Amino acid sequence: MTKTKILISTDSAAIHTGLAETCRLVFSDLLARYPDKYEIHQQGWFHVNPSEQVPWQIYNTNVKQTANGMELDPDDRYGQRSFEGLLAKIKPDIVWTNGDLWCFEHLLNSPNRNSFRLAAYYTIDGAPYFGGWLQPNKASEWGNKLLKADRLITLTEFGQKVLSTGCPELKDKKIDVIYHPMDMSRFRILDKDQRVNERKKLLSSQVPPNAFIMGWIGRNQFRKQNHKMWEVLHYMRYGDYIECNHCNRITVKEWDWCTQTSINGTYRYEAGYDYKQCWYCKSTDVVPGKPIDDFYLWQHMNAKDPGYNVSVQQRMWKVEDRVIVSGQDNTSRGIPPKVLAELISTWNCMIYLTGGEGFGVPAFESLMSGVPVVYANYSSHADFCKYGGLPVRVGEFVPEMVYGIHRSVCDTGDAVKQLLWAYRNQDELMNLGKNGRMFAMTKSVTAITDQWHNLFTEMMADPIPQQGNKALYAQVV
Amino acid sequence: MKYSHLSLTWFGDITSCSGAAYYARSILEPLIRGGASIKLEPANFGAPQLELSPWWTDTLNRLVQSQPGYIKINHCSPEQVTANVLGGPNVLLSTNSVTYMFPTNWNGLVNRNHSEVIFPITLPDYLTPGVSIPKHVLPIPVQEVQNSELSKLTINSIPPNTFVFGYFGPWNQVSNIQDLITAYVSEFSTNDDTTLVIKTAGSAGADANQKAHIIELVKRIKGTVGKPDHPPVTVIQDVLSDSTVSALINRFDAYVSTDRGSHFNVTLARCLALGKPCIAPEFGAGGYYKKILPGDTRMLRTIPCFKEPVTSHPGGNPQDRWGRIDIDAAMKFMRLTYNEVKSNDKIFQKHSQKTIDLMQAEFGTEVVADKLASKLASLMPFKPMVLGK
Repeated sequence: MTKTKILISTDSAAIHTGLAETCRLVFSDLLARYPDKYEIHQQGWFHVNPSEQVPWQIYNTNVKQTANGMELDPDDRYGQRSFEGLLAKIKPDIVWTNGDLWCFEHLLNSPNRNSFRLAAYYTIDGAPYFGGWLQPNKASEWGNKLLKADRLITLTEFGQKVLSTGCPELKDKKIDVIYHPMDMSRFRILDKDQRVNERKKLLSSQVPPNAFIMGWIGRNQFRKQNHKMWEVLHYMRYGDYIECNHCNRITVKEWDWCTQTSINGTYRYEAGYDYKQCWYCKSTDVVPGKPIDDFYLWQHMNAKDPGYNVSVQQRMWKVEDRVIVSGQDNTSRGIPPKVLAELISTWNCMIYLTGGEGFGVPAFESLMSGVPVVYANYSSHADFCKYGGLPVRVGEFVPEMVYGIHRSVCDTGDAVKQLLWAYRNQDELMNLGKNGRMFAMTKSVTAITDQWHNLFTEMMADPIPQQGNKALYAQVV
Repeated sequence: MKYSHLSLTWFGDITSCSGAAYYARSILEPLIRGGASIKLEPANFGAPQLELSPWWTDTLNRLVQSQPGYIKINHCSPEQVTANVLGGPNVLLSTNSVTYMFPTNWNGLVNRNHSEVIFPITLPDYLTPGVSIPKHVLPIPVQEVQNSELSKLTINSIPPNTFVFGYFGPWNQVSNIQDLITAYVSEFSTNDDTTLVIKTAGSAGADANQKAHIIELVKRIKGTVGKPDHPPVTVIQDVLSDSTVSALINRFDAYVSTDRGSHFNVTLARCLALGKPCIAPEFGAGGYYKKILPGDTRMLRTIPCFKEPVTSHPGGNPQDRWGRIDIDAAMKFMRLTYNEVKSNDKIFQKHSQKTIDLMQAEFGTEVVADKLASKLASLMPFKPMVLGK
């Protein structure tokens, strides 16, 4: 029986990134369960310092001689130059890619595009999504390009909806949704006592083992809106807000970052507003917030990423002694996945106020650990966090400068409200976490690989474009 | 089995994406199915190879091992002929696509090695002065049948209502795609909702760099037209199966060629067979089909050319000429054709159907196979009881 030959084009399966893990999990399982059906090859992006073994050959992108020795050629970072040679050598039935559009655009525009079937697995992290130009109801820059994929797959329903509503060309195109696969075996769910015991191994004596810890994993970068965590932590720690008994909303007090005191309305509220009534419903049935002494933030990130200045931000909000920062200084190296999973399981909840995510692997890993997520209610991660989390309203949107993709900035008061609920209802919070885990368990590697197997089988039912008589891809000048 | 009296060896390109190979497959299939004894000697002249249908793959495997036939058909240019049979007739079925005059240095190859020569179009004696063996005409057979079962290809970058001018052929000096692009870009703009599709396959082994080079050439040619609003040019460089090509041609709204006077224009024949209006030089195949088609000019507008010396040509005949087309006329014809098709002109539709009917009646594969069989039967040492039934 002839095997379906697949050429993967994404992060090398041998390194530790989200893209690498997806590829490693899916295709390892595919080969293990269908050894007679598939032959796998990979052009691996960033294939340096490989630390994982996979049962297929990984081909480097180009390297070049520099003053520092042999290094990856930046002009061939995603195989823009070397892909065609590999394509001619391997002659795959299907090319599978996973990344951002600029990473696989050369596949869409390949002069040999009609000689292979292309499955583009694509992350959408915000809306609108059309590129540098849009003719409403007619055409868009990115829709025009994405149309050249035989199959388009997004990681969540958010991405599917954004693409089909934002790009007129994709309105009628079938867009599949396949979740990121999860290796269930490394995740554990802890009860209260187990959590305390684990924390005793991890935490210094200055942090009580039964403290409330909200955790976070990610890069230190604008899109992640890291600053919101320190801000929210401030209000939880110092209680400088009012709680309305009428509408249940939280009105946070304005904070002067220099004098380090709360102030009456100046910028956020009308001048002179003195917090004697709820800002939202104007009720006077309000109570002041209370400081919480055992509330902590654990951030697992590379603090040296060129993002927010961590020490400045913490100091502005006066929360230095409530933040634990872990994480290596090389983002692509990471820590072993099992160790990370163990860390997550020690938290009370994850705080995920990101401005936009293509999927949100850390949030999903949190659900896997039975740890509920307090999450920004926008973008891909919201699709699954709703099964095991507390949504935080978007307060405002900030568009990216070039393409206008909106990043959410969550409403601080709503975030505080949800965290207060979490802190005050810790038993119910644990149940919420268990519910999230039950949903996450449906996205096992086997379940996800079955979806891919079905998709590849469907693709192979049609000939490659140059052999069929239905559709062709062309280059337009 | 109406061709069981025929015994021949067929030498030539059968398996590539070239026009000559398409011709071979079109005419051989009815002969083979009709019982002719055929030994196949497939030749590779450098065009990209096709993935053949299962029937053709089996047939090739079987017939390359057959006994040599009585008549040898060389379906190629004279210089591509290899060994001929001794004793039986050797017939050149010329795929010569060069312009105007049959190269003089081929005369010897033709006269010495063959007893008959068959051209795809009528070539008057003054264009073949050195050919001393009997000359015949056998037109290009077309497989295409315009009916509801024929697919119309979707090209992803072309919205359904876009008017498509199509060209299909090699990129070389004779095909002269430069003038085609210049005429199209000069006449149209993005307001016209049209595109020019150029389907061209590079040489066998054309890699991504060579394909990228073609794209650069298109950009450069477009850049020479000094106006700000350029309509898009769509380029397809893949080797396509026969059925994909048929579906692609069916997507064309009109066929345009500005070649320098090719005798052997398979795509022109295929487009006419599908009722597509065509624009081609009056020099070469365009002039030939013009004489055959019904009186109205709409289905085939021939671009006036003036003859100029050939600058690069095998044979180096100082009397040889090729055509330089009148670009203004090409532009005008493209605009006229665009308007007629877009307006759903009823007279145009009537002529389109007439052309389809005529092409099927004169150039369908069974018809042309019969003509060839009839010619070959006259060369056989024995005659069938009933010819052609």
